[in-house]
Amino acid sequence: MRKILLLFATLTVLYSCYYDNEEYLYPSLSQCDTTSITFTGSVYPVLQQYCYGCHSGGSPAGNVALTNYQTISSTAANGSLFGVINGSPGFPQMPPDAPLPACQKTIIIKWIKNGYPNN
Amino acid sequence: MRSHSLVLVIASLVLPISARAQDELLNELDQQTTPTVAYTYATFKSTRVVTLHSVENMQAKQLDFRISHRFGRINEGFPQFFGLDQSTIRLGLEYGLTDWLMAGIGRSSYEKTFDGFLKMKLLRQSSGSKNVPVTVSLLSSLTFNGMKDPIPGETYYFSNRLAYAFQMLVARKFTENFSLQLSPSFVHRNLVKTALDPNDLFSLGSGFRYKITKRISFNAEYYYVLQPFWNLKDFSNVNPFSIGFDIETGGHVFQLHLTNSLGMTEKAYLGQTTGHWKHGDIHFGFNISRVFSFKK
Repeated sequence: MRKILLLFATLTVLYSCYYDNEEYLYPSLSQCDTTSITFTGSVYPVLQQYCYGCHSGGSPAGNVALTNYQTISSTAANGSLFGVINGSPGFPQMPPDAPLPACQKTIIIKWIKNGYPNN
Repeated sequence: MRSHSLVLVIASLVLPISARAQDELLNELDQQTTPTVAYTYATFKSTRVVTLHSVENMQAKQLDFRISHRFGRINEGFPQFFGLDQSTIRLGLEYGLTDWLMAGIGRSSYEKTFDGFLKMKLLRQSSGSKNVPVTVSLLSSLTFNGMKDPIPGETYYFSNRLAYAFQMLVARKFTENFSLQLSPSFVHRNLVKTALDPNDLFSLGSGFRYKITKRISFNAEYYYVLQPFWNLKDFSNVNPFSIGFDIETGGHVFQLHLTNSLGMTEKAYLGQTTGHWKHGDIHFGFNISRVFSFKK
């Protein structure tokens, strides 16, 4: 009897072990607002979170500093920002460890396509 | 070995005395030098180092009633009275089923979490005829998020609410005053926020205790949570670090501490710590432990 109980308990635990995330389970939750994209409100925070680790400070990686509108817009203008986050041929994938999540990627690409305004 | 040579030395000294007396003396010595095991007690004062478990168990038929609080962040300043205006509480009842197995349940206001755990003592540090360098315990805990309607308008599955934690607690009391613990830990969360957040978290914890006086000790606890290789820059989760004092009064143990974590369960402490010490995101907190004995 005790063995059966133990087996039952083990099975319950194993059965209830899931690998879920809210983005996947509840797509409606992922509030990816791409209707009103601004540089300061949408793009800058993404770059700050994902790029600043390397691309800031005195000696930024690859000599690319993504710290202000001037430098960021110049990478948008020459197509390198789009190339690296989109993983286009001829560009290194950025961030190097994992691509940007879909929402953040969409925000930046839309901003570039809108003509990278400083708003 | 030493006791044997002692026997030899003493035996040679008493040789001139009559054989009968010698036998009696030897018998007496044998009785005195019967191998004994000296178990180490009180590696930690309480079943928690600061927030997470120490190797200590409740003894059989002893019930520990624990009240724990974590207040808001100290850097919220005077308007929030340095965090004391907000509090998170955990109430716990923890019972020693045997001397080596204890079970506990608790309820935290943080995410309305219910938790349950089993802690089993595998090895006891001892010296004497049985020499064991460390005390080893295993901990298995389960948390249940009891929030009502966590995502309004969506079906929230039962499994979403569960998280598991497994820890191996290895501790050694080096001197009367100094104890150190290492605790490799594994936490599984059925549901995480984003696809980048790992469901499985591995971490290595360390805790120590230094006894300052007979009743007061200084404790500290740090867990290094391994970031998954695909997510080198997980900005949300911070390694928990806590320091505190254990103060023992008559039947209570007070643990007063400063920590960067609001959570009081393994899942919250290891996976949902967001405060940075250097930014002053520090919470004042305390645990009060009161032990009731049901031994007859």
